Amino acid sequence: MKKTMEKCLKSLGQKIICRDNLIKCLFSLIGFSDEEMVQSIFVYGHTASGKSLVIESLLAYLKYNVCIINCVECYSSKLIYEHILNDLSMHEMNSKNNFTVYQKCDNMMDFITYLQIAVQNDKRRIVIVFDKCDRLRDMDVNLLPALVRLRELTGLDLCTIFVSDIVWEKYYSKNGLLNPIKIHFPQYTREDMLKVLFLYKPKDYEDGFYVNYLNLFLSVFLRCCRDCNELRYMAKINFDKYVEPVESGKIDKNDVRSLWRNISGILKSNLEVVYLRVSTDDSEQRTKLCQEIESTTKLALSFELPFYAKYMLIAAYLASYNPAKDDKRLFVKRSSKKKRRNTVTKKPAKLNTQLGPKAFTLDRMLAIFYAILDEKVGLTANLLAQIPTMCQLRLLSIVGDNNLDGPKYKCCVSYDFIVIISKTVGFNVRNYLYDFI
Amino acid sequence: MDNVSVSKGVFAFQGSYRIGRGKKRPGKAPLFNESWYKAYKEVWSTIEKSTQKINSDIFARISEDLKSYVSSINYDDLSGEIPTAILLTGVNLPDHGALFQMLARKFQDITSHIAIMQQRDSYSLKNMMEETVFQLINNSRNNRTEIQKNHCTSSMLNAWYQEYGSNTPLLIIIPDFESFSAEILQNFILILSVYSKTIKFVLIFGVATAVHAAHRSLPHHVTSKLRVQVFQAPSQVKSLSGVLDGTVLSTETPFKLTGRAFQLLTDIFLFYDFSVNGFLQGYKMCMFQHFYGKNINSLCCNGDNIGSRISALRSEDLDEIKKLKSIAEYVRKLPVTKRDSLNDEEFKELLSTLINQVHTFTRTFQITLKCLHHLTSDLPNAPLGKQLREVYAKAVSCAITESQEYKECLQYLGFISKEELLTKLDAMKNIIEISTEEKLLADVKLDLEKYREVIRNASPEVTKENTEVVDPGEKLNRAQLKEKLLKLSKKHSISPYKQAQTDVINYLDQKVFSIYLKNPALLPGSEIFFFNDGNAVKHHIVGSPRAAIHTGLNNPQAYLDCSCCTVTSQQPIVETMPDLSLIYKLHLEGRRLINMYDWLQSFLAIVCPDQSGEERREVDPELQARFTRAVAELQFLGFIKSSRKKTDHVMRLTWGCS
Repeated sequence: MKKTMEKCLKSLGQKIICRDNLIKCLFSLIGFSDEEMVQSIFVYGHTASGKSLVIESLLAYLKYNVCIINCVECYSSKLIYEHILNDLSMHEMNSKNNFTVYQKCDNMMDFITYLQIAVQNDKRRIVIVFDKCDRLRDMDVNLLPALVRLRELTGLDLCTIFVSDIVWEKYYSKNGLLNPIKIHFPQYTREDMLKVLFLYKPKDYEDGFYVNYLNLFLSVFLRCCRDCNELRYMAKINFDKYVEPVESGKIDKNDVRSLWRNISGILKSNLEVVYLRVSTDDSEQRTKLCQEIESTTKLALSFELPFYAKYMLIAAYLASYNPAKDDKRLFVKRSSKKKRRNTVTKKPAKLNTQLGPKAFTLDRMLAIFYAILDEKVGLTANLLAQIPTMCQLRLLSIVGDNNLDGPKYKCCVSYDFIVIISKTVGFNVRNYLYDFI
Repeated sequence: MDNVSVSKGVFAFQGSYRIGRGKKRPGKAPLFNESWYKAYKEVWSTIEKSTQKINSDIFARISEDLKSYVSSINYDDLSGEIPTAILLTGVNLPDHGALFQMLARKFQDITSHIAIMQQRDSYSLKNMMEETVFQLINNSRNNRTEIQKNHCTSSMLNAWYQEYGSNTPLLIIIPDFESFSAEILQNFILILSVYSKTIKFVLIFGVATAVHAAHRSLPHHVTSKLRVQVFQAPSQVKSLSGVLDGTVLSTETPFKLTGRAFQLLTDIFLFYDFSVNGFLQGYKMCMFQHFYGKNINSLCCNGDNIGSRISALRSEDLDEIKKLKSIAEYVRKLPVTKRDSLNDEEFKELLSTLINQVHTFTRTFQITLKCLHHLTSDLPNAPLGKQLREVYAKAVSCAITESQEYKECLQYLGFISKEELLTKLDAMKNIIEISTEEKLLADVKLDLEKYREVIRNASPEVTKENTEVVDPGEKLNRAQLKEKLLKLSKKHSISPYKQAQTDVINYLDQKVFSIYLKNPALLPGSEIFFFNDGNAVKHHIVGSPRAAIHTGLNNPQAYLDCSCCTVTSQQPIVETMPDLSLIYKLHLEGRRLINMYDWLQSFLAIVCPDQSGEERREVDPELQARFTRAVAELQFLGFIKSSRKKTDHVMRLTWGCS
């Protein structure tokens, strides 16, 4: 018995490292041919911690009748049923059957019947894997509880494995459901990560040299990113920069210190673009891009809005961040300078601009728009059409269900942004903000 | 009774009428043969051709870039990423449809599997997926498979691709990224990435705002599935300048937009919508206005066939022309003897010379304008404007050489360095050379060359002349010394470069700009070519819904064209007006809350005024129904709404128009 497990470990060990314990655990649950498989297993752990890889390789090794489902892709229970039936019955969609599925099926009852029919001539054990199974919660209420005890329902030699990023406690529902066996995949430790990344070493470099690089690399990147895929990608693109001075002969390849000095700046600037996967060839463009993403100034300047749209946006911002009762004081020219009472009104501890935007009505925004605009323009269709356009650009957002009588909006841009926009039209937005008066 | 069944129902009776059959195809309307229509058609086709050319030129680079990107994607080292091109298109949404259609056409020779996704097809993940797969499969040229849309799933696409895909990339275009729901897009991308190992996908996102938008709506684990390359489409202001250069400012099109009309169209563009397409439609509208029903404007054409056009004119057309303001002025100034003997034939001759004059003038005008623009556009603060259209707008609305800004420019020109001046002169020479009308300005060109030589050789150093210096040994009294110093200071020497610079500026001012940049509207016959009636066009292309509703209700005659409802200031309400209009007028008199009962009473007083002014308790049901309906209509139009503050009152919602 031990022997089969050892053999499996040895075979998988060529591809998978640092996961021996977990493989053993899984193998002991489903691997022994003389023992019954468990009914269902729940596997969870952070993204890119080897869950799918381990399960897929193990199942491939065991040669079971396997169906692996990505629950994002199968967005309805019907698709899930059909996908499982397709896979387990070895049905192939092609032009001969006009790309139809094995069997149409849209409820659990039918599914169980069809499943029993589909595999009656196949004596292999069946394993069904639900990847990203958190999506199952949003589908039919009975789906997840039924899938957990699918063996009981079908009477087949079958095991369901659920793979997810989140813990099982988040799956509890009112109807209750059977607890599967839970297996946690811990994150790779720093040493593990080093080993994993080392697998992707470019061919023409020595081991020590690359390990040095990885050490430097991880010291910067591991603090903000634990995603193995992303680290692998970043390690690859930064390595080219790292070896550049070595290739050109400027720095000796054993001179770790100068190499570090050379690469540290680049690593730090690339830290900004982690996950963005913007492929530009030179790092100069990359830094430019990440500056653009970082700074509101660049962002605001890159917006090309028509003149009145800019004013409209400013009006929306003012309407969102000023209390409505002060509109008269702020916008009515030659307003009767009402003497404030001696009791100084306490300003709220938090400034309006630091709280979120408040909703405002269309009328109020138009009134402010006309108050801040010096010239007289008619309220034309062109002007009004700007509002939905800005909603579409996500500069404004509609509040509530599109009430035709009194539509309400919110302004979604930040203070820095609006300051720059108003600068381009020569308008000082601070003069009209309640917080700064 | 037991066998009887009674059934009632409505049965459709198939009549002989069929929708769409009854319509007669209108024969060719008589206006197709009118000379003004032919002239219009001809001018518009030249404009259309040139704008198409400009558009394809503007987008040529970006489409080439994208094409080379798509065809050069190396799928081997992507490792589960989907190659994605983000095209920053700028905010004007109206023009984007055309751009992406054009891109899709251009991509046809790389792959025939292209899906253009619209927001309306993507309100749920299911819809989006089905629509994408359906388009990808059915867009191909050789349509071998018949697949229903609700069978289209991603696994089906995979199976299909293995069989038919033949390794060509599948292109999915999302023209307006911002309008898609972020959640649906996330899932969509995740699904694509599952299959990216077996299927070659390429995504193109049209982003109107900034790359930021993409990163804001997609979380990390989704963006890491994309490999993004950013492309920037030319800015809208730039493409407008391109279109203007090809249409209004080109020497090819005889029809010219000036003054208010030009200002209006550019304002709409800059202030409202940034839409080049909108600009062109406005331009077309101006041409409608200019040509429609006016035979005399058929003379608005290029110089070659002016003779035949003139001879085709009827004598009433000639009379019409004589009435044109500038021509009438011109004729009045002719010597009396000549004026009296002016018969039709002679007038035609005169007309042809006048029109040729206008042609020549407009050509030289355009070229000189470009020269002026080049000379002044990079001066500090650019008093005449940075863009050619600004200079143009100024030059066609007033005498530009008289203007303050122009004088300011000349002053600034006096301060620029030798190198700058030389490059400017070179550029001007170039502009004249590349224009087709080189011979018209040949002498100007020669002069420019001459001045250029002089300036090139002139040294900026002041030559030290051996002027008499105040000799300290000389005995002078105070008055003499003063006189001498004054004389010396007057003799303040100028460097040869400075001298040459002043010369060339004076030359340009007096001999070039003052002659060629006169206001073209003053030329006799200019009305035929120039269109400046901004108000007429504004009426058509700038919608003002509130004003229109107000006029409609306040003065229904404006739309109904009836003879009965004449409104005067003494009698603003006439009983023959439609009920809605009466109700509207009465509501204008009301305050914030309107009492329904009073309203009804005043309505009755107008509709049947025969009875005495007493309150009427008994109301004719028909009248009451009319009143109720009119009030409901007014509420539907958004002028009033029911109020909960007071019973039997409605609230007024609009203010300020009475």
